[in-house]
Amino acid sequence: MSNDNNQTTCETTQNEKYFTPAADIYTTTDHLIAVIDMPGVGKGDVTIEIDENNILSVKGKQSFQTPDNPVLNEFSKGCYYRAFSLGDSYNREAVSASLDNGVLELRIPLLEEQKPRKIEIAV
Amino acid sequence: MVCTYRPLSSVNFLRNSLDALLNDSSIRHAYPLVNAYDSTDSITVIAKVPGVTKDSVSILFENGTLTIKGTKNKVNFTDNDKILLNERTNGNFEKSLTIPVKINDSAISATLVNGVLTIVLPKSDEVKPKTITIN
Repeated sequence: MSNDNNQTTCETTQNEKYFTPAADIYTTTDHLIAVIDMPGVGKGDVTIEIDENNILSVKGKQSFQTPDNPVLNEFSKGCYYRAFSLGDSYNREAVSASLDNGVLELRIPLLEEQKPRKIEIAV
Repeated sequence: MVCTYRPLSSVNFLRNSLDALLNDSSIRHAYPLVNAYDSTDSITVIAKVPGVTKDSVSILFENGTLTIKGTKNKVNFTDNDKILLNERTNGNFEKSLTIPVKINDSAISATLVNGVLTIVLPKSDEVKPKTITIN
């Protein structure tokens, strides 16, 4: 199994540490689906925004408790942040999100006029 | 050009680079990433296992070695899907840690919340610090 991607980058100029979470993004015939690994983030700790330029940004804060006195430190606690440019073909008003076992799934439907359609030949 | 003579500057440079390398938390470790914490009466091990359910992970403690073993499911892409980004890890994983103190085996507990696995290993009574009262 390959190594974990969760901590490839860390932004330290802000008050808290920001990590880039690993993501899978794919399109089906009528949706764009993004699956993002965010362990330690609960439902209340995640914000999803789409700005006026159709940039989708996801931010999550790790909320689990850690005891004092670490003896092994492979990860540090902080926030996750990732942003994607969506383009104009997706319906930004109809984004649905679910968070399950620390994995965030976003489903963004294609705009009705962008969906593939079958054209019947008139007789 | 005249410059200050610093006979140890290259040694210091080497030392600083090594320190930076050793302190860098972005050095990749085998999945899952694990932190461990030591307190007077227990050792707590925290592992990040996003997307892993209670049924797909097992924890084993044997001869002072803690093993976390499980499966992380991948997204079930269909033939019509167009994959734009595929970064998430998947598949079977196994990671072992040696716990160097005596553990009360029967009292080990574990919880899995939001993809974070927390295992509490209570120390055996014989290794806990004792207060000695003066007669």
